Amino acid sequence: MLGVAESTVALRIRQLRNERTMLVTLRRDLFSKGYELQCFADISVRGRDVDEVARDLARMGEVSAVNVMLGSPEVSVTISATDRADLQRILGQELASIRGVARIEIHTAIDIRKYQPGYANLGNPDEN
Amino acid sequence: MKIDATDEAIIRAFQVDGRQSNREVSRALNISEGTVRQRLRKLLRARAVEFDVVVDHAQVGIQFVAYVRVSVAPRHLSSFLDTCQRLPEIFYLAHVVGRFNVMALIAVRTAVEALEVINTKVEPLRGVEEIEIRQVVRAAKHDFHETVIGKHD
Repeated sequence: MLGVAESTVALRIRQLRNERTMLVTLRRDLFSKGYELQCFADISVRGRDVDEVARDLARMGEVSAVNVMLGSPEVSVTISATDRADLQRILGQELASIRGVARIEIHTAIDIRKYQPGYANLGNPDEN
Repeated sequence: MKIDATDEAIIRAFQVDGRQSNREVSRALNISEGTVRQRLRKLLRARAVEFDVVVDHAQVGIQFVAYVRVSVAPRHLSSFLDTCQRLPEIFYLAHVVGRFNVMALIAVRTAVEALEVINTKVEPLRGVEEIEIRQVVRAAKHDFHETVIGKHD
């Protein structure tokens, strides 16, 4: 297709991987992990540094993404839950117990049409 | 499908580097190459996993990532989602319940480009009532290994 040797492609892929420009990886289906629900929680932070709250949220296993946002609510997280009871536990116990979390607004996905997290900050392994 | 501890270990190994050979993974996990091959094939066939490429967004010029939330009139929702699903700038799209009924993630080079996508490709679609754009300043966590297989074009 590209008109170049296979060894050239392999070499370039290796270079791109070493430079952390590109990574070939294995993606895991959300539902095969036993999760039935995916939610987006907008979190308003009060009385605590936003990055500290974001770091605490990032430690949660059910949270796959934590983003610090421009404006308020200051943080947005993506949560996976096995069912409604699990979601209730995550929101009511885990998220609510993090100091600085003042308010949570939820959007729950009922039909995920596209999910291609093809971009990432590969230069910062702490984020992944 | 049932995924056991050995499957999990194989998945984790290929998540770190998807270009490893089955032999390299078998050596690292102290299991036979045949076990890795069979289990990986089973996981791929069941669509529990898939190999894919992740690109560093900064190195390809992606500087603007935002959540785009849209209220769409229910009778136009299906066609709205069908159209947005085909937009390359949108890498996540879902019908959601909450204040809005559509959630999208957009990744482009600049805020101006994002505005152009919204103004020319999203806002003119039938049924659009309200659009909210929330820009991501920085990510504290992003598990790019998670996906929904079979839902993307």
